[in-house]
Amino acid sequence: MILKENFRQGFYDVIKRQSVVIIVAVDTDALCTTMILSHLLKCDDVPYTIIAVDGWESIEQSLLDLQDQKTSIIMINCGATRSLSRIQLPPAATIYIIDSHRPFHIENMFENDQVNVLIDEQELEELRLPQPNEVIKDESDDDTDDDEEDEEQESSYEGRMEKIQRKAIKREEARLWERRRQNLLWTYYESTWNGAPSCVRLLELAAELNRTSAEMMWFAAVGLNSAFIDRLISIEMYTSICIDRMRPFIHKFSPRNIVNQGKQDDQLHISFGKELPLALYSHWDLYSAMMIDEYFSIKTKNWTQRGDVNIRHLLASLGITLAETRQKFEALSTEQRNVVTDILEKEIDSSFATFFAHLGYCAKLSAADLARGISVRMEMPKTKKSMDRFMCGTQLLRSSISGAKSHRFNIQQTFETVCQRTLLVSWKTMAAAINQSEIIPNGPYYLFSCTRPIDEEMIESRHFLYNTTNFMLRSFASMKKGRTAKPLIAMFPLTAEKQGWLVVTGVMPLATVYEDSLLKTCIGRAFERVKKMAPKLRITNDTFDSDVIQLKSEDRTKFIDCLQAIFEGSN
Amino acid sequence: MNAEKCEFLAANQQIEIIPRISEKVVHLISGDVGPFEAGIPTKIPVWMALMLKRKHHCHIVPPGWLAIEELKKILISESDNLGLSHLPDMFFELSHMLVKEASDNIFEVDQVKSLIQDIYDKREAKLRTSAITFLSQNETCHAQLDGVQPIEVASSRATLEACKQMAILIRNKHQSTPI
Repeated sequence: MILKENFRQGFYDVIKRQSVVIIVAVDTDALCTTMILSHLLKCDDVPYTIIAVDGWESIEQSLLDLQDQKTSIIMINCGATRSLSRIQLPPAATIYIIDSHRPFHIENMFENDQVNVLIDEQELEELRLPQPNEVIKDESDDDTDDDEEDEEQESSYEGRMEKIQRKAIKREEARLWERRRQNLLWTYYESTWNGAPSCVRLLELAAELNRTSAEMMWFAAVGLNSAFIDRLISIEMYTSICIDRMRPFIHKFSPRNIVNQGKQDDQLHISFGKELPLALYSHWDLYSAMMIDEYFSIKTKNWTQRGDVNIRHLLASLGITLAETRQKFEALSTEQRNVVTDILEKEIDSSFATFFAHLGYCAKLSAADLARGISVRMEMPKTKKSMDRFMCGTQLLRSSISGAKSHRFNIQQTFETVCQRTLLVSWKTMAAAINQSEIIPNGPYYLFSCTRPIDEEMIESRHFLYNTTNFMLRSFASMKKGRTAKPLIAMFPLTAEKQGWLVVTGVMPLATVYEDSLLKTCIGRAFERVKKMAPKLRITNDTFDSDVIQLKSEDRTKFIDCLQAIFEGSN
Repeated sequence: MNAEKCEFLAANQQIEIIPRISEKVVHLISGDVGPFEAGIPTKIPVWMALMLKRKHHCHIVPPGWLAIEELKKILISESDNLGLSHLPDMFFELSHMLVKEASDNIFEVDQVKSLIQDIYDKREAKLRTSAITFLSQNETCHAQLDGVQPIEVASSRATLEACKQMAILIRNKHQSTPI
């Protein structure tokens, strides 16, 4: 069932009455949503449990464990894309889904009464849902036919002929209806994308309940930023959400506008301002940040042999000395910092703006960097249990606003050790792929098969995969003209326990990126069709993102052939 | 008895709040509280006020003496007076709890914090000098000090207890040392 307005009465007041089980996917947006929701529940003294899940199997397992419980189950960032009727649901519980994955499965929306999906009214039009009567077969029609038949068994010859004709017409109609339904579903399920992050929806719910605070706004800001840096939403959507939906909160919690409070240094203030889209540059040195950044890397082609020379030329033309870039950014004087930031802003000319947290006398922390840190912490290593990783993410998020020196240090450590390493490995993979010409055109798509094993922790992280493959496609396209029309499929080998398996993911062709602001991708559907076409292939598509799957290495060639057939067929 | 217990006892004082929700009368063993109507100020115990504040259910109205002007006056009288000046009831305990939990309801909380810290330091210095004079008395052994706050009593008790024990030890040594 769809829940599209009145979230307060339809959703929150209902779950307030009994205990709540929150099943949450392990990603930053879900984490921020859970923090906001758990704060609201704590204020109302509602007992809640949090279960962190990695994939559909874990969901089934947890639902089995909850079979005899009469609670409300809230699923955050999971559960929308596949039909929940196939899974055994606890009979006494009601399920609410708050998910940013689109498109929603039709059965969850129309057929299942136990499941409620929360959607925004404006988004409902964008979804282009088919009408319920077009896709759900109405069972009652067939029954009346049978009844009629039993009653009028002894009618005349003409009557029977009429009846046979009527039945033939009905059968023809049913066939046409079925075919129309197939077409509708085909177009509906063709692409997958991500809608607005769930944390913003929950922040608005908290505002309706009048329980917002600067901390909650910060959680929502981090969740929103994580959706942008993970390349789940485009910059247009990010900016429009910032401007339309986050604006009232910005006014409320920014440093200048605190009414009746005088000067306050101890409180958390959130400000919103322009920022360079360079990852982690304020906790790093400019040279490295520019090296791994997409814009500068592609401009100077710093993976080629001339790359170094190009970088120097670029810096000279911008007027930034090499010494300034090699120093740690915090070590530059404030004046120098402002000058350099201005130059780079003019150069990149992006419209990226993000939220900053000001707490006491600590340096301001940008939500984008924190989102990167949390994503990376939560997604690797996959050998740690999902609940542990979720708790790590929670700690990191809380320590960003606690103000204690040890916590700040912890954040700095995360940035330096894990984040920067991930970004560097990402760049190196991309550079190796292009320098060694490992990206080969394979008919309707480009194929990248990674031969060297990359760090086993990173390879299963969605953040790393999306970043690397996007980077790869863009730099590959920048090397020669005319490479913007085909998608890129990348395969990486897994090591250690999962030896013999590959992680496969894909990116849509660059030309389609500018069609709309939703970043729709058909890769997930293509993978599903391959699986249906050749059921003997050992494919695991357990995660909530349908465009990341695991494939047994022996089935590689057959997979590539099937994929080729599917892409060619759809063209 | 230490600072936390003093705070616990102080939490039973009455304080004014402006509730943001409406609620019926709450029957407690120590008496009835409420009913609450959103927007109408009422008086409730501090422990309940802090609990409601944490749940975003009320605004706390700081007591009259927790304002910059009043605190400056208290600071001046503390400097002028040789002994300890008279402070409002449970001054330090209440201000500590309110600053920690309801800092967004206090105007200019940073200056308030530093003023209270100054008052505390001045009084502590006076207490220390008076304790030293008291202990160095030879013949008489009594002292009188007005206006000591419970929290200061708790912290001085440890020192004076220790000094008393040391005095007993020294006397014993003197008495039992063979000549």
